[in-house]
Amino acid sequence: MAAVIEIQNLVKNFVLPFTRKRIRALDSLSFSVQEGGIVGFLGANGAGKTTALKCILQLIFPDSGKIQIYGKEQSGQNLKSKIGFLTERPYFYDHLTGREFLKFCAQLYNSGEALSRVEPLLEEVGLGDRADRHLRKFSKGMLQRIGIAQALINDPKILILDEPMSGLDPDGRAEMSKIISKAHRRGATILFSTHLLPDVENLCERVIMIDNGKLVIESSVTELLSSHTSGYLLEFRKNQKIENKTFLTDSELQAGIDEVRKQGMTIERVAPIRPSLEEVFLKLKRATS
Amino acid sequence: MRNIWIVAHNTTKEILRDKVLYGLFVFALFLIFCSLLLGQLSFAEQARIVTDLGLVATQVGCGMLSVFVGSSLVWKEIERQTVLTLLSKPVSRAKFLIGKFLGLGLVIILVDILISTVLALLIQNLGDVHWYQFIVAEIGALFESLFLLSVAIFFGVFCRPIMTTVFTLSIWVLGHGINDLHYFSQKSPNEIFKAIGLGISKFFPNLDYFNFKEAVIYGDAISSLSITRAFGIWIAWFIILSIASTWIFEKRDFT
Repeated sequence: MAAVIEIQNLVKNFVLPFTRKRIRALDSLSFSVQEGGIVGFLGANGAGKTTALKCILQLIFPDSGKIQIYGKEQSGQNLKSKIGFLTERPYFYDHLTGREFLKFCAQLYNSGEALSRVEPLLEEVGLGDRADRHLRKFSKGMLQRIGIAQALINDPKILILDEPMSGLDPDGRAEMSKIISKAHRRGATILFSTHLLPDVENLCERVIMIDNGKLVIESSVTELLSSHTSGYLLEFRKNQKIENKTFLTDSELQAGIDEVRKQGMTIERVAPIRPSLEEVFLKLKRATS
Repeated sequence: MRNIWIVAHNTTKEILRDKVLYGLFVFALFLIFCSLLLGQLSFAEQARIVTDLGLVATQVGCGMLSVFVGSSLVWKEIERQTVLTLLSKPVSRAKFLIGKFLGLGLVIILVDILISTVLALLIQNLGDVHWYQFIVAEIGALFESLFLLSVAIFFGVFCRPIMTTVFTLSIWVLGHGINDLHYFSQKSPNEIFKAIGLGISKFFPNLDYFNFKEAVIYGDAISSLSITRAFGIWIAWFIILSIASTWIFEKRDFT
Protein backbone atom coordinates (compact mmCIF):
# COMPACT_ATOMS: atom_id res chain seq x y z
CA MET A 1 0.00 0.00 0.00
CA ALA A 2 1.18 3.50 -0.80
CA ALA A 3 2.00 6.04 1.88
CA VAL A 4 -0.64 8.75 2.03
CA ILE A 5 1.24 10.87 4.55
CA GLU A 6 5.00 10.71 4.75
CA ILE A 7 6.93 12.82 7.21
CA GLN A 8 10.71 12.98 7.05
CA ASN A 9 13.03 14.54 9.63
CA LEU A 10 10.55 17.14 10.77
CA VAL A 11 12.06 19.73 13.12
CA LYS A 12 10.17 22.50 14.84
CA ASN A 13 11.47 24.84 17.49
CA PHE A 14 9.40 27.41 19.34
CA VAL A 15 11.07 30.48 20.73
CA LEU A 16 9.67 31.72 24.03
CA PRO A 17 8.91 35.43 24.13
CA PHE A 18 11.15 37.66 26.29
CA THR A 19 13.58 34.89 27.36
CA ARG A 20 14.17 33.88 23.69
CA LYS A 21 14.62 30.32 24.97
CA ARG A 22 14.19 27.71 22.25
CA ILE A 23 11.94 24.74 22.87
CA ARG A 24 12.27 21.82 20.49
CA ALA A 25 8.77 20.53 19.83
CA LEU A 26 9.65 18.13 17.01
CA ASP A 27 13.05 16.51 16.78
CA SER A 28 13.78 14.84 13.42
CA LEU A 29 10.38 13.19 13.47
CA SER A 30 9.73 10.73 10.67
CA PHE A 31 6.76 8.44 10.11
CA SER A 32 4.33 7.43 7.42
CA VAL A 33 0.63 6.62 7.22
CA GLN A 34 -0.42 4.03 4.68
CA GLU A 35 -3.51 4.38 2.52
CA GLY A 36 -6.72 3.12 4.08
CA GLY A 37 -5.32 2.67 7.56
CA ILE A 38 -6.48 3.85 10.95
CA VAL A 39 -3.43 5.03 12.81
CA GLY A 40 -3.30 6.03 16.46
CA PHE A 41 -0.91 8.84 17.23
CA LEU A 42 0.20 8.47 20.82
CA GLY A 43 2.27 10.49 23.20
CA ALA A 44 2.11 12.17 26.57
CA ASN A 45 1.04 15.79 26.99
CA GLY A 46 3.57 18.02 25.26
CA ALA A 47 5.08 15.15 23.27
CA GLY A 48 4.50 17.06 20.02
CA LYS A 49 1.42 15.29 18.63
CA THR A 50 -0.64 18.42 17.98
CA THR A 51 2.38 20.26 16.57
CA ALA A 52 3.01 17.42 14.10
CA LEU A 53 -0.66 17.32 13.04
CA LYS A 54 -0.71 21.09 12.58
CA CYS A 55 2.45 20.87 10.46
CA ILE A 56 0.65 18.42 8.14
CA LEU A 57 -2.21 20.93 7.85
CA GLN A 58 0.17 23.88 7.33
CA LEU A 59 -1.14 25.60 10.42
CA ILE A 60 2.41 25.49 11.81
CA PHE A 61 5.46 25.78 9.58
CA PRO A 62 8.31 23.37 10.39
CA ASP A 63 11.89 24.67 10.57
CA SER A 64 13.10 21.79 8.42
CA GLY A 65 12.01 18.41 7.13
CA LYS A 66 9.63 17.22 4.49
CA ILE A 67 5.91 16.44 4.50
CA GLN A 68 4.58 14.55 1.52
CA ILE A 69 0.92 13.86 0.89
CA TYR A 70 0.27 11.27 -1.83
CA GLY A 71 3.99 11.37 -2.67
CA LYS A 72 4.14 15.11 -3.28
CA GLU A 73 4.98 18.13 -1.18
CA GLN A 74 1.55 19.64 -1.52
CA SER A 75 0.50 23.07 -0.52
CA GLY A 76 -2.51 25.29 -0.62
CA GLN A 77 -6.12 24.55 -1.33
CA ASN A 78 -5.56 21.36 -3.32
CA LEU A 79 -4.27 19.64 -0.19
CA LYS A 80 -7.01 21.00 2.03
CA SER A 81 -9.83 19.77 -0.19
CA LYS A 82 -8.65 16.19 0.49
CA ILE A 83 -8.38 16.52 4.26
CA GLY A 84 -10.87 16.63 7.10
CA PHE A 85 -9.65 17.94 10.45
CA LEU A 86 -11.07 17.97 13.94
CA THR A 87 -9.18 20.22 16.30
CA GLU A 88 -8.48 19.49 19.94
CA ARG A 89 -10.97 21.27 22.25
CA PRO A 90 -13.38 22.09 19.44
CA TYR A 91 -14.97 25.49 19.77
CA PHE A 92 -17.04 26.80 16.94
CA TYR A 93 -19.00 29.94 16.14
CA ASP A 94 -21.37 30.61 19.04
CA HIS A 95 -23.77 32.64 16.97
CA LEU A 96 -24.51 29.85 14.50
CA THR A 97 -26.80 26.89 14.92
CA GLY A 98 -25.40 23.42 14.29
CA ARG A 99 -27.07 23.26 10.87
CA GLU A 100 -25.89 26.76 9.87
CA PHE A 101 -22.34 25.89 10.91
CA LEU A 102 -22.26 22.73 8.82
CA LYS A 103 -23.71 24.60 5.83
CA PHE A 104 -21.06 27.30 6.28
CA CYS A 105 -18.31 24.63 6.26
CA ALA A 106 -19.84 22.90 3.22
CA GLN A 107 -19.99 26.17 1.23
CA LEU A 108 -16.23 26.60 1.65
CA TYR A 109 -15.67 23.50 -0.53
CA ASN A 110 -17.54 25.12 -3.38
CA SER A 111 -19.32 21.89 -4.25
CA GLY A 112 -22.95 20.91 -4.18
CA GLU A 113 -21.89 17.49 -2.99
CA ALA A 114 -20.59 18.88 0.32
CA LEU A 115 -23.87 20.79 0.81
CA SER A 116 -25.89 17.66 0.13
CA ARG A 117 -24.00 15.91 2.95
CA VAL A 118 -25.19 18.35 5.64
CA GLU A 119 -28.46 16.61 6.55
CA PRO A 120 -27.19 13.00 6.34
CA LEU A 121 -24.19 13.93 8.47
CA LEU A 122 -26.36 15.60 11.11
CA GLU A 123 -28.31 12.35 11.31
CA GLU A 124 -25.13 10.27 11.35
CA VAL A 125 -23.68 12.13 14.33
CA GLY A 126 -27.03 12.03 16.13
CA LEU A 127 -27.76 15.75 16.00
CA GLY A 128 -30.62 15.70 13.51
CA ASP A 129 -33.21 16.89 16.02
CA ARG A 130 -30.93 19.37 17.82
CA ALA A 131 -29.28 20.98 14.81
CA ASP A 132 -31.23 24.24 15.10
CA ARG A 133 -29.84 25.03 18.54
CA HIS A 134 -27.12 27.65 18.77
CA LEU A 135 -23.65 26.18 19.24
CA ARG A 136 -23.18 28.10 22.50
CA LYS A 137 -25.90 25.86 23.97
CA PHE A 138 -24.14 22.66 22.84
CA SER A 139 -22.60 20.36 25.44
CA LYS A 140 -19.00 19.16 25.08
CA GLY A 141 -20.18 15.88 23.55
CA MET A 142 -22.45 17.66 21.07
CA LEU A 143 -19.61 20.00 20.06
CA GLN A 144 -17.41 16.97 19.47
CA ARG A 145 -20.14 15.48 17.26
CA ILE A 146 -20.62 18.63 15.21
CA GLY A 147 -16.81 18.80 15.05
CA ILE A 148 -16.52 15.36 13.49
CA ALA A 149 -19.41 16.21 11.15
CA GLN A 150 -17.59 19.30 9.81
CA ALA A 151 -14.44 17.19 9.39
CA LEU A 152 -16.42 14.72 7.25
CA ILE A 153 -18.36 17.30 5.24
CA ASN A 154 -16.11 16.99 2.16
CA ASP A 155 -15.98 13.18 2.36
CA PRO A 156 -12.23 13.47 2.96
CA LYS A 157 -9.62 11.01 1.76
CA ILE A 158 -7.55 11.80 4.84
CA LEU A 159 -9.13 12.38 8.23
CA ILE A 160 -6.95 13.96 10.92
CA LEU A 161 -8.46 14.01 14.40
CA ASP A 162 -6.79 15.64 17.37
CA GLU A 163 -8.00 14.00 20.58
CA PRO A 164 -11.47 13.16 19.23
CA MET A 165 -12.41 11.19 22.36
CA SER A 166 -11.28 13.63 25.01
CA GLY A 167 -13.99 14.79 27.36
CA LEU A 168 -16.52 12.27 26.11
CA ASP A 169 -18.39 9.86 28.35
CA PRO A 170 -18.25 6.11 27.52
CA ASP A 171 -21.39 6.35 25.35
CA GLY A 172 -19.94 9.31 23.51
CA ARG A 173 -16.67 7.48 22.94
CA ALA A 174 -18.51 4.45 21.58
CA GLU A 175 -20.50 6.73 19.23
CA MET A 176 -17.32 8.47 18.10
CA SER A 177 -15.62 5.12 17.49
CA LYS A 178 -18.57 4.08 15.31
CA ILE A 179 -18.37 7.29 13.28
CA ILE A 180 -14.61 6.87 12.80
CA SER A 181 -15.04 3.22 11.74
CA LYS A 182 -17.75 4.23 9.27
CA ALA A 183 -15.50 6.89 7.73
CA HIS A 184 -12.77 4.25 7.46
CA ARG A 185 -15.15 1.86 5.71
CA ARG A 186 -15.93 4.64 3.23
CA GLY A 187 -12.23 4.60 2.35
CA ALA A 188 -10.74 7.39 4.44
CA THR A 189 -7.23 7.11 5.83
CA ILE A 190 -7.42 8.14 9.47
CA LEU A 191 -4.73 9.55 11.74
CA PHE A 192 -5.86 10.42 15.22
CA SER A 193 -4.09 11.45 18.36
CA THR A 194 -5.37 10.33 21.71
CA HIS A 195 -4.54 9.64 25.32
CA LEU A 196 -7.16 6.94 25.61
CA LEU A 197 -5.26 3.79 24.78
CA PRO A 198 -8.17 1.33 24.99
CA ASP A 199 -9.76 3.22 22.08
CA VAL A 200 -6.56 2.84 20.06
CA GLU A 201 -6.50 -0.85 20.86
CA ASN A 202 -10.09 -1.22 19.62
CA LEU A 203 -9.91 1.01 16.56
CA CYS A 204 -6.41 1.17 15.19
CA GLU A 205 -4.39 -1.10 12.99
CA ARG A 206 -1.17 0.81 13.58
CA VAL A 207 0.27 3.11 16.20
CA ILE A 208 2.85 5.84 16.10
CA MET A 209 4.26 6.74 19.48
CA ILE A 210 6.28 9.91 20.04
CA ASP A 211 7.98 11.41 23.06
CA ASN A 212 9.69 14.81 23.29
CA GLY A 213 9.09 15.28 19.59
CA LYS A 214 10.94 12.08 18.67
CA LEU A 215 9.57 8.88 17.27
CA VAL A 216 9.51 6.10 19.87
CA ILE A 217 7.84 3.39 17.85
CA GLU A 218 5.85 2.91 14.66
CA SER A 219 4.24 -0.49 14.49
CA SER A 220 1.05 -2.46 14.03
CA VAL A 221 -0.93 -2.82 17.26
CA THR A 222 -0.82 -6.63 17.08
CA GLU A 223 2.95 -6.74 16.52
CA LEU A 224 3.54 -4.25 19.29
CA LEU A 225 1.47 -6.19 21.80
CA SER A 226 2.94 -9.55 20.70
CA SER A 227 6.49 -8.28 21.04
CA HIS A 228 5.72 -7.43 24.65
CA THR A 229 4.17 -10.80 25.50
CA SER A 230 5.31 -11.64 29.00
CA GLY A 231 4.41 -15.37 29.04
CA TYR A 232 1.56 -17.82 28.47
CA LEU A 233 -1.49 -18.77 30.42
CA LEU A 234 -2.66 -22.39 30.43
CA GLU A 235 -6.14 -23.12 31.75
CA PHE A 236 -7.15 -26.74 32.41
CA ARG A 237 -9.95 -28.67 34.08
CA LYS A 238 -9.00 -30.69 37.16
CA ASN A 239 -11.70 -32.49 39.17
CA GLN A 240 -14.42 -30.36 37.55
CA LYS A 241 -12.59 -27.22 38.61
CA ILE A 242 -10.78 -24.86 36.26
CA GLU A 243 -7.23 -24.14 37.29
CA ASN A 244 -4.45 -22.24 35.56
CA LYS A 245 -0.68 -22.04 35.32
CA THR A 246 1.61 -19.45 33.74
CA PHE A 247 4.77 -20.14 31.77
CA LEU A 248 7.47 -17.68 30.77
CA THR A 249 8.74 -19.33 27.59
CA ASP A 250 7.34 -21.30 24.71
CA SER A 251 9.26 -24.47 25.66
CA GLU A 252 8.04 -24.29 29.25
CA LEU A 253 4.51 -24.01 27.91
CA GLN A 254 4.95 -27.12 25.70
CA ALA A 255 6.28 -29.08 28.67
CA GLY A 256 3.34 -27.86 30.78
CA ILE A 257 0.81 -28.95 28.14
CA ASP A 258 2.42 -32.42 27.96
CA GLU A 259 2.27 -32.73 31.75
CA VAL A 260 -1.42 -31.75 31.90
CA ARG A 261 -2.30 -34.26 29.17
CA LYS A 262 -0.28 -37.00 30.85
CA GLN A 263 -2.37 -36.52 33.98
CA GLY A 264 -5.55 -36.89 31.90
CA MET A 265 -6.78 -33.34 32.44
CA THR A 266 -8.60 -31.31 29.79
CA ILE A 267 -6.99 -28.21 28.39
CA GLU A 268 -9.53 -25.38 28.34
CA ARG A 269 -7.47 -22.47 27.01
CA VAL A 270 -3.94 -21.47 26.04
CA ALA A 271 -3.32 -17.75 25.61
CA PRO A 272 -0.34 -15.42 25.50
CA ILE A 273 -0.18 -12.97 28.39
CA ARG A 274 -0.21 -9.65 26.61
CA PRO A 275 0.09 -6.32 28.33
CA SER A 276 -2.43 -3.62 27.53
CA LEU A 277 -1.32 -0.90 25.15
CA GLU A 278 -1.21 1.36 28.16
CA GLU A 279 1.38 -0.87 29.86
CA VAL A 280 3.45 -1.02 26.65
CA PHE A 281 3.21 2.72 26.28
CA LEU A 282 4.46 3.31 29.83
CA LYS A 283 7.21 0.73 29.41
CA LEU A 284 8.44 2.31 26.16
CA LYS A 285 8.20 5.78 27.64
CA ARG A 286 10.29 4.74 30.66
CA ALA A 287 12.83 3.11 28.34
CA THR A 288 13.25 6.24 26.19
CA SER A 289 13.48 8.63 29.12
CA MET B 1 -13.31 34.96 -4.42
CA ARG B 2 -16.41 33.00 -3.41
CA ASN B 3 -14.82 31.91 -0.15
CA ILE B 4 -14.06 35.54 0.74
CA TRP B 5 -17.80 36.28 0.56
CA ILE B 6 -18.64 33.18 2.59
CA VAL B 7 -16.24 34.26 5.36
CA ALA B 8 -17.52 37.86 5.08
CA HIS B 9 -21.15 36.72 5.30
CA ASN B 10 -20.41 34.64 8.38
CA THR B 11 -18.57 37.56 10.01
CA THR B 12 -21.47 39.93 9.28
CA LYS B 13 -23.91 37.42 10.73
CA GLU B 14 -21.72 37.01 13.82
CA ILE B 15 -21.58 40.76 14.46
CA LEU B 16 -25.27 41.33 13.73
CA ARG B 17 -26.10 38.67 16.32
CA ASP B 18 -23.82 40.30 18.90
CA LYS B 19 -25.24 42.68 21.52
CA VAL B 20 -22.16 44.94 21.33
CA LEU B 21 -23.31 46.28 17.96
CA TYR B 22 -26.69 47.35 19.32
CA GLY B 23 -25.02 48.96 22.33
CA LEU B 24 -22.88 51.10 20.02
CA PHE B 25 -25.85 51.91 17.81
CA VAL B 26 -27.93 53.03 20.79
CA PHE B 27 -24.96 55.10 22.00
CA ALA B 28 -24.78 56.89 18.63
CA LEU B 29 -28.55 57.56 18.67
CA PHE B 30 -28.23 58.82 22.24
CA LEU B 31 -25.59 61.32 21.06
CA ILE B 32 -27.91 62.53 18.30
CA PHE B 33 -30.79 63.03 20.72
CA CYS B 34 -28.45 64.81 23.15
CA SER B 35 -27.63 67.18 20.30
CA LEU B 36 -31.37 67.90 19.99
CA LEU B 37 -31.49 68.84 23.68
CA LEU B 38 -28.36 70.97 23.37
CA GLY B 39 -29.82 72.60 20.28
CA GLN B 40 -32.74 73.82 22.38
CA LEU B 41 -30.32 76.09 24.27
CA SER B 42 -29.74 78.20 21.20
CA PHE B 43 -32.63 78.86 18.85
CA ALA B 44 -30.43 80.41 16.14
CA GLU B 45 -27.74 77.74 16.21
CA GLN B 46 -30.01 74.73 16.74
CA ALA B 47 -29.52 73.32 13.23
CA ARG B 48 -25.75 73.74 13.41
CA ILE B 49 -25.47 72.11 16.85
CA VAL B 50 -27.64 69.16 15.87
CA THR B 51 -25.81 68.67 12.57
CA ASP B 52 -22.37 68.99 14.15
CA LEU B 53 -23.08 66.61 17.04
CA GLY B 54 -24.99 64.28 14.75
CA LEU B 55 -22.00 63.97 12.44
CA VAL B 56 -19.79 63.38 15.47
CA ALA B 57 -22.20 60.60 16.50
CA THR B 58 -21.71 58.89 13.12
CA GLN B 59 -17.94 59.30 13.32
CA VAL B 60 -17.70 58.08 16.92
CA GLY B 61 -20.28 55.28 16.53
CA CYS B 62 -18.68 53.80 13.40
CA GLY B 63 -15.16 54.49 14.70
CA MET B 64 -15.86 52.69 17.99
CA LEU B 65 -17.33 49.78 16.07
CA SER B 66 -14.09 49.54 14.06
CA VAL B 67 -11.85 49.85 17.09
CA PHE B 68 -13.65 47.70 19.63
CA VAL B 69 -15.13 44.99 17.41
CA GLY B 70 -12.24 45.12 14.92
CA SER B 71 -9.64 44.68 17.67
CA SER B 72 -10.91 41.25 18.64
CA LEU B 73 -12.09 40.21 15.18
CA VAL B 74 -9.03 38.11 14.26
CA TRP B 75 -7.75 37.44 17.75
CA LYS B 76 -11.04 35.85 18.83
CA GLU B 77 -10.71 33.37 15.98
CA ILE B 78 -7.14 32.54 16.99
CA GLU B 79 -7.86 32.36 20.71
CA ARG B 80 -10.95 30.16 20.32
CA GLN B 81 -9.19 28.11 17.63
CA THR B 82 -12.02 28.54 15.13
CA VAL B 83 -9.28 29.70 12.77
CA LEU B 84 -7.83 26.16 12.80
CA THR B 85 -11.11 24.70 11.55
CA LEU B 86 -11.45 27.38 8.91
CA LEU B 87 -7.87 27.34 7.63
CA SER B 88 -7.87 23.55 7.41
CA LYS B 89 -10.51 24.01 4.70
CA PRO B 90 -9.86 25.47 1.24
CA VAL B 91 -9.56 29.04 2.56
CA SER B 92 -6.22 30.80 2.23
CA ARG B 93 -5.03 33.03 5.04
CA ALA B 94 -5.25 36.12 2.81
CA LYS B 95 -8.85 35.29 1.86
CA PHE B 96 -9.70 34.76 5.51
CA LEU B 97 -8.38 38.23 6.44
CA ILE B 98 -10.10 39.96 3.51
CA GLY B 99 -13.33 38.14 4.40
CA LYS B 100 -13.11 39.31 8.01
CA PHE B 101 -12.47 42.90 6.85
CA LEU B 102 -15.37 42.82 4.41
CA GLY B 103 -17.70 41.27 7.00
CA LEU B 104 -17.19 43.99 9.58
CA GLY B 105 -16.84 46.61 6.83
CA LEU B 106 -20.37 45.79 5.61
CA VAL B 107 -21.74 46.20 9.14
CA ILE B 108 -19.97 49.57 9.46
CA ILE B 109 -21.50 50.69 6.14
CA LEU B 110 -24.93 49.57 7.39
CA VAL B 111 -24.54 51.41 10.71
CA ASP B 112 -23.26 54.52 8.91
CA ILE B 113 -26.31 54.51 6.61
CA LEU B 114 -28.72 53.98 9.52
CA ILE B 115 -27.26 56.76 11.69
CA SER B 116 -27.05 59.09 8.69
CA THR B 117 -30.70 58.41 7.85
CA VAL B 118 -31.83 59.13 11.41
CA LEU B 119 -29.76 62.33 11.41
CA ALA B 120 -31.04 63.39 7.99
CA LEU B 121 -34.66 62.93 9.13
CA LEU B 122 -33.97 65.08 12.19
CA ILE B 123 -32.15 67.96 10.54
CA GLN B 124 -34.36 68.35 7.48
CA ASN B 125 -36.95 70.22 9.56
CA LEU B 126 -34.42 72.44 11.32
CA GLY B 127 -33.48 74.61 8.36
CA ASP B 128 -31.58 74.47 5.12
CA VAL B 129 -29.33 71.47 4.87
CA HIS B 130 -26.38 71.27 2.50
CA TRP B 131 -27.16 67.77 1.34
CA TYR B 132 -24.16 67.30 -0.95
CA GLN B 133 -21.77 68.27 1.85
CA PHE B 134 -23.77 66.12 4.28
CA ILE B 135 -23.39 63.04 2.09
CA VAL B 136 -19.66 63.66 1.53
CA ALA B 137 -19.17 64.13 5.31
CA GLU B 138 -20.96 60.86 6.07
CA ILE B 139 -18.86 59.05 3.45
CA GLY B 140 -15.76 60.68 4.99
CA ALA B 141 -16.74 59.30 8.42
CA LEU B 142 -17.27 55.91 6.81
CA PHE B 143 -13.83 55.92 5.18
CA GLU B 144 -12.23 56.97 8.46
CA SER B 145 -13.91 53.99 10.17
CA LEU B 146 -12.77 51.62 7.44
CA PHE B 147 -9.23 52.96 7.81
CA LEU B 148 -9.43 52.31 11.57
CA LEU B 149 -10.68 48.80 10.81
CA SER B 150 -7.60 48.16 8.63
CA VAL B 151 -5.41 49.38 11.51
CA ALA B 152 -7.27 47.17 14.02
CA ILE B 153 -6.92 44.11 11.78
CA PHE B 154 -3.22 44.85 11.23
CA PHE B 155 -2.49 44.94 14.97
CA GLY B 156 -4.99 42.14 15.60
CA VAL B 157 -2.96 39.60 13.63
CA PHE B 158 -0.10 39.75 16.13
CA CYS B 159 -1.31 41.61 19.26
CA ARG B 160 -3.80 40.83 21.99
CA PRO B 161 -7.13 42.73 21.75
CA ILE B 162 -6.30 45.11 24.60
CA MET B 163 -3.05 46.19 22.92
CA THR B 164 -4.76 46.36 19.52
CA THR B 165 -7.44 48.62 21.00
CA VAL B 166 -4.83 50.88 22.61
CA PHE B 167 -2.75 51.14 19.41
CA THR B 168 -5.78 51.75 17.17
CA LEU B 169 -7.26 54.34 19.54
CA SER B 170 -3.86 56.06 19.69
CA ILE B 171 -3.70 56.27 15.91
CA TRP B 172 -7.28 57.60 15.84
CA VAL B 173 -6.51 60.34 18.35
CA LEU B 174 -3.11 61.09 16.80
CA GLY B 175 -4.64 61.19 13.32
CA HIS B 176 -6.96 64.00 14.40
CA GLY B 177 -4.24 65.89 16.23
CA ILE B 178 -1.63 65.87 13.48
CA ASN B 179 -2.33 69.42 12.25
CA ASP B 180 -2.04 70.78 15.79
CA LEU B 181 1.02 68.70 16.55
CA HIS B 182 2.72 69.89 13.37
CA TYR B 183 1.79 73.51 14.06
CA PHE B 184 2.99 73.57 17.67
CA SER B 185 6.13 71.53 17.05
CA GLN B 186 7.25 73.88 14.29
CA LYS B 187 6.74 76.85 16.64
CA SER B 188 8.82 75.17 19.33
CA PRO B 189 12.41 76.27 19.92
CA ASN B 190 13.29 72.66 20.81
CA GLU B 191 14.83 71.05 17.71
CA ILE B 192 14.13 67.48 18.91
CA PHE B 193 10.42 68.21 19.47
CA LYS B 194 10.36 69.93 16.06
CA ALA B 195 11.87 66.85 14.39
CA ILE B 196 9.54 64.44 16.22
CA GLY B 197 6.49 66.56 15.35
CA LEU B 198 7.55 66.69 11.71
CA GLY B 199 8.27 62.94 11.65
CA ILE B 200 4.89 62.03 13.14
CA SER B 201 2.98 64.38 10.87
CA LYS B 202 4.74 62.91 7.82
CA PHE B 203 4.43 59.25 8.85
CA PHE B 204 0.97 58.96 10.41
CA PRO B 205 -2.19 59.53 8.37
CA ASN B 206 -3.93 62.83 8.87
CA LEU B 207 -7.51 61.83 9.62
CA ASP B 208 -8.72 65.42 9.29
CA TYR B 209 -8.63 64.84 5.55
CA PHE B 210 -11.75 62.68 6.07
CA ASN B 211 -13.48 65.39 8.09
CA PHE B 212 -15.96 67.48 6.10
CA LYS B 213 -18.16 68.54 9.03
CA GLU B 214 -17.44 72.25 8.71
CA ALA B 215 -18.46 72.23 5.07
CA VAL B 216 -21.87 70.78 6.07
CA ILE B 217 -22.39 73.37 8.79
CA TYR B 218 -21.22 76.44 6.86
CA GLY B 219 -22.16 75.27 3.40
CA ASP B 220 -18.58 75.57 2.11
CA ALA B 221 -17.85 74.06 -1.26
CA ILE B 222 -15.93 70.77 -1.15
CA SER B 223 -13.37 70.63 -3.91
CA SER B 224 -12.92 67.48 -5.91
CA LEU B 225 -9.24 67.71 -5.00
CA SER B 226 -9.96 67.27 -1.28
CA ILE B 227 -12.24 64.32 -2.01
CA THR B 228 -9.62 62.72 -4.28
CA ARG B 229 -6.91 63.37 -1.68
CA ALA B 230 -8.99 61.74 1.08
CA PHE B 231 -9.75 58.74 -1.09
CA GLY B 232 -6.11 58.50 -2.25
CA ILE B 233 -4.84 58.51 1.34
CA TRP B 234 -7.40 55.91 2.32
CA ILE B 235 -6.61 53.56 -0.55
CA ALA B 236 -2.83 53.91 -0.02
CA TRP B 237 -3.11 53.08 3.68
CA PHE B 238 -5.58 50.29 2.97
CA ILE B 239 -3.14 48.65 0.53
CA ILE B 240 -0.14 49.09 2.85
CA LEU B 241 -1.98 47.73 5.91
CA SER B 242 -3.58 44.86 3.97
CA ILE B 243 -0.23 43.73 2.55
CA ALA B 244 1.47 44.02 5.95
CA SER B 245 -1.37 42.19 7.78
CA THR B 246 -1.46 39.39 5.21
CA TRP B 247 2.33 39.02 5.23
CA ILE B 248 2.42 38.67 9.02
CA PHE B 249 -0.64 36.40 9.08
CA GLU B 250 0.82 34.14 6.36
CA LYS B 251 4.00 33.66 8.42
CA ARG B 252 2.50 32.99 11.82
CA ASP B 253 2.13 29.61 13.48
CA PHE B 254 -1.19 28.71 15.06
CA THR B 255 0.02 26.91 18.15
